[in-house]
Amino acid sequence: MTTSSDSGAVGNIETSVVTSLARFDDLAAAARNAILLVPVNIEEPEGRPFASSLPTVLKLAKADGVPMAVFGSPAAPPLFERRSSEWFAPAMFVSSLFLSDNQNAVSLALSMLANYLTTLFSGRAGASVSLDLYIADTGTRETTKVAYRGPVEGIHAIQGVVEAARRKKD
Amino acid sequence: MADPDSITIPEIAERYNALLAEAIDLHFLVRDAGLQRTKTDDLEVFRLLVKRVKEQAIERGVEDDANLLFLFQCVVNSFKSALLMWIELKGGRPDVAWNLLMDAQDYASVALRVPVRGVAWGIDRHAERLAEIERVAFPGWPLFLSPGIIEDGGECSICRRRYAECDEHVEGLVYAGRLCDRVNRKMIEGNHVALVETPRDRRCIIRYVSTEDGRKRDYITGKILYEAFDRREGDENHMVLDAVILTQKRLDLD
Repeated sequence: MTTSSDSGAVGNIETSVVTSLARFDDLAAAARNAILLVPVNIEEPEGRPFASSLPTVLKLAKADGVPMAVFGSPAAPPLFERRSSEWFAPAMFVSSLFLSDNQNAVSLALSMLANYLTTLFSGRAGASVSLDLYIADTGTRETTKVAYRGPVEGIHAIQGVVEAARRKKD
Repeated sequence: MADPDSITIPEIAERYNALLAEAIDLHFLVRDAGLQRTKTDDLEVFRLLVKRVKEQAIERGVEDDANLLFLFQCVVNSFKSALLMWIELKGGRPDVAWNLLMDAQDYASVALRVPVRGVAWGIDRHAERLAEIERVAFPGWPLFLSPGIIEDGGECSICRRRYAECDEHVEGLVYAGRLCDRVNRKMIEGNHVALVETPRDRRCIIRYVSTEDGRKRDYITGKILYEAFDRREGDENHMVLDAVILTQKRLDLD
């Protein structure tokens, strides 16, 4: 696994390459037509609980028309609630095939989260976002993990990494 | 108490402004605790009136009125908590005062989220003042507790459906005078408790730590108590903490 970090003025983005992601084929197939929301510990073979923000993000996506689906479509998945000042987004998984057909989908999802969190964080000093995004190249079977930690204003920087991955694929 | 069936929104707003001016004048350490107590009683009476009128606005479907009244409810609750904080501080109960300061800050934070058009209401200034009071009156805890829990999604506090099945309400947002929150969350298993610098709920504080000779040091006041920690054989080299790991108090946000 290789790792790089970009600690700018707004938030910190760390990217790493995961070469042998468990359940890669299942994930890539499920992510063909949507941004896939996946369990927090998706890198482990039996990862099960989702971030407790899962139902909230699904409601926002439905209202904003952002294509999102839940891996495994569980009726009532167990949720992992971490009572930190950080707001933990559900881990997200996008495939290169989906990105080539839906170039604005991740950008829309980030704007949706930013709008919601700007309101949610009103008057809350030190509130921040934690978001893990997995970008899977279905050709090379290589997955890039993008981990963002920081204030809500910096969340759009993730789009730059997604764009770079998409251009590399093209 | 004024008749909630006949009082108008402008009349409530006028009372709100007058009451707040009086509360602001008492929002200092040196003000008399008796006067502060009396004012919290006045604020409580007004809060009950506001909630009754808000329920009527919700029943009539007048969203703007419901939101304005919810804003009053949050700000009144914030000032009530703040005045009680001063009383508890002067009464030598800083742990209780800390929780009241957290309540006051949380109410101010929700007030800032209420979609009321065109008026700032000075709430941001009030929130800043609460932050200043925190910095001056309390030592700045370096660590808090933050639990990790596996749970179900709970219910929507507004419509009482399963939160995941309710499409209309999103956690943390205000809808016609009420905050959407997740309630009746069932814990499936405890995952961890962490010591963190920035917890979600800063009521989760360390209360006592052990001294080298096994006595309790009050983490808030710094005072060493005669009381000893209940230690087992082999604990001599361990630091022992007495801390709050989870609070389940619900604020008045319905």
